[in-house]
Amino acid sequence: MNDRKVVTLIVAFASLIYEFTLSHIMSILYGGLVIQYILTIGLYIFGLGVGSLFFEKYRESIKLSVIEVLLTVFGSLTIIVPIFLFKYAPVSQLLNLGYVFLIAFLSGVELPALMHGQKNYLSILGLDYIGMALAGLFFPWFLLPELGLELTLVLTASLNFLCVLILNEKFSYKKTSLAGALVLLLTSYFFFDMQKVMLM
Amino acid sequence: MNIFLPVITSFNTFLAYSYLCKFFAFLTEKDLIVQIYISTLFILAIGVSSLILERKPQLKKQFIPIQIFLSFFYISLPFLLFTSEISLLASIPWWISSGFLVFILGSLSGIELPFYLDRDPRQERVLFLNYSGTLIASLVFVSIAYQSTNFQYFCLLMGISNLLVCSFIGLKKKLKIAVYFIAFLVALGHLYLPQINNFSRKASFLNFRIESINDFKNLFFAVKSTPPIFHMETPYQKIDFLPKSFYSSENDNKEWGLFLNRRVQIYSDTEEIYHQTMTFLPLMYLPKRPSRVLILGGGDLGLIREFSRLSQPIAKLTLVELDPTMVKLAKEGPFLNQLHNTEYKYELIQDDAFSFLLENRQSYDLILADFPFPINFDLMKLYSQEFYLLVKKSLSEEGMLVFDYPFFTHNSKAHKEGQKIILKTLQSAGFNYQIWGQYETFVIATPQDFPRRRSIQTYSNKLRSSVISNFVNRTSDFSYSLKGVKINSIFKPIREFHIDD
Repeated sequence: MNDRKVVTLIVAFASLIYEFTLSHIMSILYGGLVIQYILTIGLYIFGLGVGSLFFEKYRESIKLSVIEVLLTVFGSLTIIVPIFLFKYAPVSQLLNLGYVFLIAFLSGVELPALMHGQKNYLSILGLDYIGMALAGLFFPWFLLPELGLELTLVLTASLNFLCVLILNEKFSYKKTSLAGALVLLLTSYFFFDMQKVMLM
Repeated sequence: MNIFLPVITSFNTFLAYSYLCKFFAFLTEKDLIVQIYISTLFILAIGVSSLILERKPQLKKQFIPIQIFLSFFYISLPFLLFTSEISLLASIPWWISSGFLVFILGSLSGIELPFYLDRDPRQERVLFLNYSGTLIASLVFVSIAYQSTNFQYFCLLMGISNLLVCSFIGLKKKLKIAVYFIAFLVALGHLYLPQINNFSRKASFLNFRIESINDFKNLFFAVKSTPPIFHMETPYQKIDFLPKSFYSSENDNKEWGLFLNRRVQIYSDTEEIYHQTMTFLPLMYLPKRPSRVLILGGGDLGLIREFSRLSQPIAKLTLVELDPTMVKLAKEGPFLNQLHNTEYKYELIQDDAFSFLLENRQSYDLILADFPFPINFDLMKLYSQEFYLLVKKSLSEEGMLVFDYPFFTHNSKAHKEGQKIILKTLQSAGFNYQIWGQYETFVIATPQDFPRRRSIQTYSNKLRSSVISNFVNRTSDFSYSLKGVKINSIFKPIREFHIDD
């Protein structure tokens, strides 16, 4: 399997894990698990569409590694941002749905970017669906009950970070942004106690 | 190409998917597992479809027959779901029937987007319209369609609008007449939906198991011989009142049982044991009369009634209930209003109990949590470490928490594990606890040491003798070793929580 295929598998897995995590947190904050999941999945599919449209327009100026760095950053904050918004922001539910859209939008840019310039994009598409299926299999049966949300999230964001290293693309401020993303990733796990934040 | 076509078809697909999620989540009570299983399978089926289309692009020409099939799928959805419910009684696992329906839906609708992309060179526009339909469907579902009363209308709307799409794209005249005529006949079947739903409701309450064709006949006669059920649905739950003769050998139709999501909440002839024990148990312990009492859940107003019977009223009595219909039923009936003969003075807040505590800044002398047992992820958060920590934060210095403890006469090993998890989780949040109740069991907990308690005789003039006999301290019966028992946290919920009646 070449690098691009590995990355496809990882990013599809990661993007759905972020969405499941957001659905889960929102169902805790606002109640109604089924409603929150359907709202999130609906917005997720919409975000994927808008993301792929965005790629169509700006394909020449988009670097996949930059998207991965952004996903590492926003992915690491997937628990803490909804809780902060719930506690301190007006219309927090709307803002949290905006966060769902943001993650979905970035994920939506990924797939066409991975398929771009590939002769056999069929296998990329297939791996994308396999990655999502793996996320659906692992999240409720292993990741959530055995590792918990926080560890799941830091591992998932690390996978996005790993993709930047696998892709090995050149882009401006590469070292700085990689260091920043790594610091945020580790800080979000080791220095933020989500339970304390929630109970503040 | 008409811009509405991709919007309509993707709207219909996502709305049908949402209904499948809701239906199977309710039917199995495995909300998270069902939601993720259906979502993943749905996305996977669309993917499989697009992969097949890449290899066999000629299949795109089958768009109209596939859309006609999907139209019938939508119109027949209530009947398909009824079949799934009955197949569960025949021990066919939920994941087979739900998987079958979701895979049909996902794989057939997966042809839609490639078809539109072929017809319209402006691919970005087609993609945007298609995904907009999905977004609109999720918003419509959450705001209007989630209420089951609208279900059959939406099924008809989905089916007919899909047929209109076929007509717009090009349906031969003879075929058009035939298709619309068959659709009309299937739609006529919707007139029988109340009877069909009533049948499946009664069948599930009878807890029938179908093992042979004769069992079908037995089920039919059993359903026919049972008295009618009063049923209503709210955005939050399904409410049923069953006459006593339905669940007991006594032919007494004056008494009834209240069932929420098909699980018993109270029986009219024994509810006083529940409500009076829950109210007077903490009063035995609290050093002084509580001035601020918070009731979480309890929309049947049974606890409010008991506090209102005290000789000195509680200064601030607050009820947090998610479903306003319960309070309306307690006030105006039917059934539930029979338990109340006066108006009460209390503050009603419509909110999710967890969300309320997250934002609460007041302290209470007593908090009563009157919730259903933790049978799914949605309810498990109300038995989590974070919930108990929030309660602790909301209690005054000498404040106490009381909640219904799931104990059954047929207490199994699996039940015990669930009970241990609750006690361990409570303990991990810094509570000391005792367990009381001969027939209805309750946990009373405090972050402090338990104060000296008064005798229940203090309140004997307020209690029935049958209620007094429930006041038995059973803490020693539940003195489980909690070493190694898992803690239930919202950030790391327990997967298997066997609390079941």
